[in-house]
Amino acid sequence: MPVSNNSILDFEFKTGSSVWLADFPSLEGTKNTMANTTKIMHLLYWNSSSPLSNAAKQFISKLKSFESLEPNWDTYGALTPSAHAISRAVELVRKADRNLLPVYFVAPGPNGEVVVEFRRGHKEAAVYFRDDNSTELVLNEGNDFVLEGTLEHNYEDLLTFINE
Amino acid sequence: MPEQVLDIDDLLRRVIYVHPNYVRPDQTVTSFAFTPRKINGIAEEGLSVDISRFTTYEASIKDRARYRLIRYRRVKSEILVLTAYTILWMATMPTR
Repeated sequence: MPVSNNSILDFEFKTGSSVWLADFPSLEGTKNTMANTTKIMHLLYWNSSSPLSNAAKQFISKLKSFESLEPNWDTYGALTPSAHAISRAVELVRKADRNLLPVYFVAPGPNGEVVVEFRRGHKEAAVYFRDDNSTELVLNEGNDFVLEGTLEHNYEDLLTFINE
Repeated sequence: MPEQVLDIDDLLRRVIYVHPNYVRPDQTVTSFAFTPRKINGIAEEGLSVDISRFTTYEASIKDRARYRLIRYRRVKSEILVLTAYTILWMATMPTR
Protein backbone atom coordinates (compact mmCIF):
# COMPACT_ATOMS: atom_id res chain seq x y z
CA MET A 1 0.00 0.00 0.00
CA PRO A 2 1.57 3.32 -0.93
CA VAL A 3 1.77 5.55 2.11
CA SER A 4 3.59 8.82 1.86
CA ASN A 5 6.25 9.38 4.44
CA ASN A 6 4.53 12.47 5.75
CA SER A 7 1.40 10.48 6.50
CA ILE A 8 3.08 8.01 8.77
CA LEU A 9 2.88 9.00 12.36
CA ASP A 10 3.96 6.83 15.16
CA PHE A 11 0.53 6.65 16.56
CA GLU A 12 0.10 4.88 19.83
CA PHE A 13 -3.21 4.35 21.55
CA LYS A 14 -3.56 5.57 25.07
CA THR A 15 -6.25 4.37 27.40
CA GLY A 16 -9.34 6.43 26.91
CA SER A 17 -7.99 8.25 23.85
CA SER A 18 -9.79 8.68 20.59
CA VAL A 19 -8.59 8.90 17.03
CA TRP A 20 -9.02 12.36 15.53
CA LEU A 21 -8.36 13.69 12.07
CA ALA A 22 -5.91 16.08 13.68
CA ASP A 23 -3.74 13.08 14.50
CA PHE A 24 -3.11 12.75 10.79
CA PRO A 25 -1.78 16.00 9.32
CA SER A 26 -2.21 14.78 5.76
CA LEU A 27 -5.96 14.55 6.34
CA GLU A 28 -6.28 17.76 8.29
CA GLY A 29 -8.84 20.17 6.94
CA THR A 30 -10.82 17.42 5.29
CA LYS A 31 -14.24 16.32 6.32
CA ASN A 32 -14.68 13.41 8.65
CA THR A 33 -16.06 11.19 5.96
CA MET A 34 -16.24 7.44 5.82
CA ALA A 35 -13.46 7.54 3.24
CA ASN A 36 -11.17 9.40 5.61
CA THR A 37 -12.08 7.10 8.46
CA THR A 38 -11.09 4.22 6.21
CA LYS A 39 -7.80 5.96 5.46
CA ILE A 40 -7.14 6.39 9.17
CA MET A 41 -7.92 2.77 9.88
CA HIS A 42 -5.67 1.79 7.01
CA LEU A 43 -2.82 3.86 8.42
CA LEU A 44 -3.33 2.41 11.87
CA TYR A 45 -3.38 -1.06 10.42
CA TRP A 46 -0.22 -0.30 8.45
CA ASN A 47 1.50 1.02 11.57
CA SER A 48 0.59 -1.80 13.86
CA SER A 49 0.94 -4.80 11.61
CA SER A 50 3.69 -3.94 9.15
CA PRO A 51 6.48 -6.46 9.31
CA LEU A 52 9.89 -5.20 10.29
CA SER A 53 12.37 -4.56 7.52
CA ASN A 54 15.36 -6.85 7.26
CA ALA A 55 17.61 -3.98 8.27
CA ALA A 56 15.59 -3.39 11.44
CA LYS A 57 15.68 -7.09 12.25
CA GLN A 58 19.46 -7.09 11.90
CA PHE A 59 19.89 -4.06 14.13
CA ILE A 60 17.57 -5.57 16.75
CA SER A 61 19.52 -8.80 16.63
CA LYS A 62 22.74 -6.85 17.08
CA LEU A 63 21.30 -4.89 20.00
CA LYS A 64 20.14 -8.07 21.71
CA SER A 65 23.59 -9.59 21.25
CA PHE A 66 24.96 -6.84 23.52
CA GLU A 67 23.26 -8.62 26.44
CA SER A 68 25.91 -11.32 26.25
CA LEU A 69 28.84 -8.94 26.66
CA GLU A 70 30.87 -9.69 29.76
CA PRO A 71 32.14 -6.92 32.00
CA ASN A 72 35.41 -5.46 30.66
CA TRP A 73 34.49 -6.44 27.10
CA ASP A 74 36.52 -3.51 25.76
CA THR A 75 39.56 -4.35 27.96
CA TYR A 76 39.20 -0.90 29.55
CA GLY A 77 36.66 -1.87 32.19
CA ALA A 78 33.40 -1.39 30.25
CA LEU A 79 30.22 -2.45 32.00
CA THR A 80 27.74 -4.93 30.60
CA PRO A 81 25.14 -2.88 28.73
CA SER A 82 22.02 -2.19 30.73
CA ALA A 83 19.16 -4.58 29.87
CA HIS A 84 16.77 -1.66 30.12
CA ALA A 85 18.85 0.45 27.74
CA ILE A 86 18.94 -2.41 25.23
CA SER A 87 15.22 -2.96 25.54
CA ARG A 88 14.47 0.72 24.93
CA ALA A 89 16.87 0.81 22.00
CA VAL A 90 15.08 -2.19 20.45
CA GLU A 91 11.79 -0.42 20.98
CA LEU A 92 13.15 2.66 19.19
CA VAL A 93 14.40 0.61 16.23
CA ARG A 94 10.92 -0.93 15.85
CA LYS A 95 9.30 2.48 16.07
CA ALA A 96 11.84 4.02 13.71
CA ASP A 97 11.26 1.28 11.17
CA ARG A 98 7.55 2.06 11.13
CA ASN A 99 8.42 5.71 10.61
CA LEU A 100 10.94 4.98 7.85
CA LEU A 101 13.84 6.38 9.88
CA PRO A 102 17.04 4.84 8.54
CA VAL A 103 19.03 3.26 11.36
CA TYR A 104 22.72 3.45 10.52
CA PHE A 105 24.64 2.16 13.51
CA VAL A 106 24.16 0.78 17.01
CA ALA A 107 26.72 0.29 19.77
CA PRO A 108 27.03 -0.12 23.51
CA GLY A 109 29.01 2.38 25.54
CA PRO A 110 31.51 1.75 28.31
CA ASN A 111 29.11 2.78 31.08
CA GLY A 112 26.13 0.56 30.30
CA GLU A 113 24.60 2.91 27.76
CA VAL A 114 23.50 2.11 24.18
CA VAL A 115 23.37 4.38 21.13
CA VAL A 116 21.15 4.14 18.06
CA GLU A 117 22.27 6.33 15.17
CA PHE A 118 20.32 7.45 12.13
CA ARG A 119 21.68 8.94 8.96
CA ARG A 120 20.26 10.34 5.75
CA GLY A 121 22.68 12.24 3.54
CA HIS A 122 24.46 14.77 5.74
CA LYS A 123 21.79 14.54 8.43
CA GLU A 124 22.80 12.52 11.45
CA ALA A 125 20.96 11.74 14.65
CA ALA A 126 22.08 9.82 17.71
CA VAL A 127 19.87 8.60 20.53
CA TYR A 128 21.64 7.58 23.73
CA PHE A 129 19.96 5.31 26.26
CA ARG A 130 21.73 5.68 29.62
CA ASP A 131 21.74 3.09 32.34
CA ASP A 132 19.92 5.57 34.61
CA ASN A 133 16.95 5.37 32.18
CA SER A 134 17.53 8.85 30.78
CA THR A 135 17.83 9.49 27.05
CA GLU A 136 19.72 12.02 24.98
CA LEU A 137 18.96 12.94 21.40
CA VAL A 138 21.52 14.82 19.29
CA LEU A 139 20.88 16.06 15.75
CA ASN A 140 23.67 17.22 13.44
CA GLU A 141 23.83 18.23 9.82
CA GLY A 142 27.36 17.85 8.55
CA ASN A 143 29.49 19.57 11.16
CA ASP A 144 26.63 21.79 12.29
CA PHE A 145 24.89 21.11 15.56
CA VAL A 146 21.11 21.25 15.17
CA LEU A 147 19.48 20.12 18.40
CA GLU A 148 20.12 18.42 21.71
CA GLY A 149 17.20 17.06 23.69
CA THR A 150 15.61 13.86 24.83
CA LEU A 151 13.81 11.13 22.96
CA GLU A 152 10.72 11.70 25.06
CA HIS A 153 10.45 15.39 24.17
CA ASN A 154 12.01 15.53 20.72
CA TYR A 155 11.00 12.40 18.81
CA GLU A 156 8.93 14.45 16.39
CA ASP A 157 11.95 16.69 15.79
CA LEU A 158 13.93 13.58 14.94
CA LEU A 159 11.25 12.45 12.51
CA THR A 160 11.01 15.83 10.86
CA PHE A 161 14.75 16.36 10.71
CA ILE A 162 15.65 13.03 9.14
CA ASN A 163 12.61 12.47 6.95
CA GLU A 164 12.10 15.94 5.47
CA MET B 1 54.05 4.06 37.73
CA PRO B 2 52.67 6.86 35.49
CA GLU B 3 54.98 7.86 32.66
CA GLN B 4 55.54 11.37 31.40
CA VAL B 5 53.94 11.84 27.99
CA LEU B 6 56.25 13.72 25.65
CA ASP B 7 55.19 15.96 22.81
CA ILE B 8 56.68 13.53 20.36
CA ASP B 9 54.83 10.53 21.75
CA ASP B 10 52.23 8.56 19.90
CA LEU B 11 49.46 7.17 22.04
CA LEU B 12 47.74 3.90 21.28
CA ARG B 13 44.28 2.79 22.27
CA ARG B 14 42.42 -0.39 21.40
CA VAL B 15 39.05 -0.08 19.71
CA ILE B 16 36.76 -3.05 19.68
CA TYR B 17 35.99 -4.23 16.16
CA VAL B 18 34.03 -7.44 16.65
CA HIS B 19 30.99 -7.82 18.91
CA PRO B 20 30.45 -4.96 19.19
CA ASN B 21 32.06 -2.92 16.44
CA TYR B 22 33.08 0.64 17.24
CA VAL B 23 33.98 1.38 13.63
CA ARG B 24 31.01 2.57 11.58
CA PRO B 25 30.48 1.45 7.98
CA ASP B 26 32.01 4.75 6.78
CA GLN B 27 35.15 3.92 8.83
CA THR B 28 34.59 6.65 11.41
CA VAL B 29 34.83 5.64 15.04
CA THR B 30 32.02 6.11 17.53
CA SER B 31 32.71 8.54 20.35
CA PHE B 32 32.18 5.66 22.78
CA ALA B 33 35.76 4.69 21.94
CA PHE B 34 36.83 7.92 23.64
CA THR B 35 34.27 8.00 26.45
CA PRO B 36 35.78 7.80 29.94
CA ARG B 37 34.52 5.12 32.28
CA LYS B 38 32.50 6.15 35.27
CA ILE B 39 33.38 4.92 38.70
CA ASN B 40 30.49 5.33 41.13
CA GLY B 41 28.87 7.71 38.68
CA ILE B 42 31.93 9.94 38.28
CA ALA B 43 33.78 9.97 34.98
CA GLU B 44 37.45 9.20 35.14
CA GLU B 45 39.80 11.99 34.19
CA GLY B 46 41.31 10.80 30.95
CA LEU B 47 41.58 7.61 28.98
CA SER B 48 43.85 4.64 29.30
CA VAL B 49 46.41 4.54 26.50
CA ASP B 50 49.72 2.93 25.70
CA ILE B 51 52.72 5.10 24.89
CA SER B 52 54.12 3.72 21.69
CA ARG B 53 57.78 3.98 22.68
CA PHE B 54 57.17 1.60 25.57
CA THR B 55 55.30 -1.07 23.68
CA THR B 56 54.71 -2.64 20.30
CA TYR B 57 51.57 -2.57 18.19
CA GLU B 58 51.34 -6.32 18.66
CA ALA B 59 51.37 -6.07 22.42
CA SER B 60 49.08 -3.06 22.52
CA ILE B 61 46.34 -4.56 20.39
CA LYS B 62 46.20 -7.73 22.52
CA ASP B 63 43.85 -9.58 20.14
CA ARG B 64 44.11 -8.56 16.53
CA ALA B 65 41.03 -10.58 15.60
CA ARG B 66 38.87 -8.55 17.95
CA TYR B 67 40.40 -5.08 18.13
CA ARG B 68 41.87 -2.34 16.02
CA LEU B 69 44.43 0.14 17.24
CA ILE B 70 44.02 3.87 17.16
CA ARG B 71 47.17 5.95 17.11
CA TYR B 72 46.96 9.50 18.38
CA ARG B 73 49.54 11.92 17.09
CA ARG B 74 50.53 15.49 17.90
CA VAL B 75 49.88 15.18 21.56
CA LYS B 76 50.91 17.95 23.91
CA SER B 77 51.71 16.69 27.35
CA GLU B 78 50.38 19.52 29.53
CA ILE B 79 46.95 19.84 28.02
CA LEU B 80 46.11 16.79 26.03
CA VAL B 81 45.19 18.00 22.57
CA LEU B 82 44.18 15.31 20.16
CA THR B 83 44.23 16.69 16.68
CA ALA B 84 44.20 13.53 14.66
CA TYR B 85 44.01 9.85 14.98
CA THR B 86 44.70 7.00 12.68
CA ILE B 87 43.18 3.58 12.78
CA LEU B 88 45.97 1.14 12.36
CA TRP B 89 44.66 -1.75 10.36
CA MET B 90 46.53 -4.80 11.43
CA ALA B 91 46.54 -6.32 7.98
CA THR B 92 48.84 -3.61 6.66
CA MET B 93 50.60 -2.68 9.82
CA PRO B 94 54.27 -3.50 10.23
CA THR B 95 55.22 -5.41 13.33
CA ARG B 96 57.65 -3.45 15.43
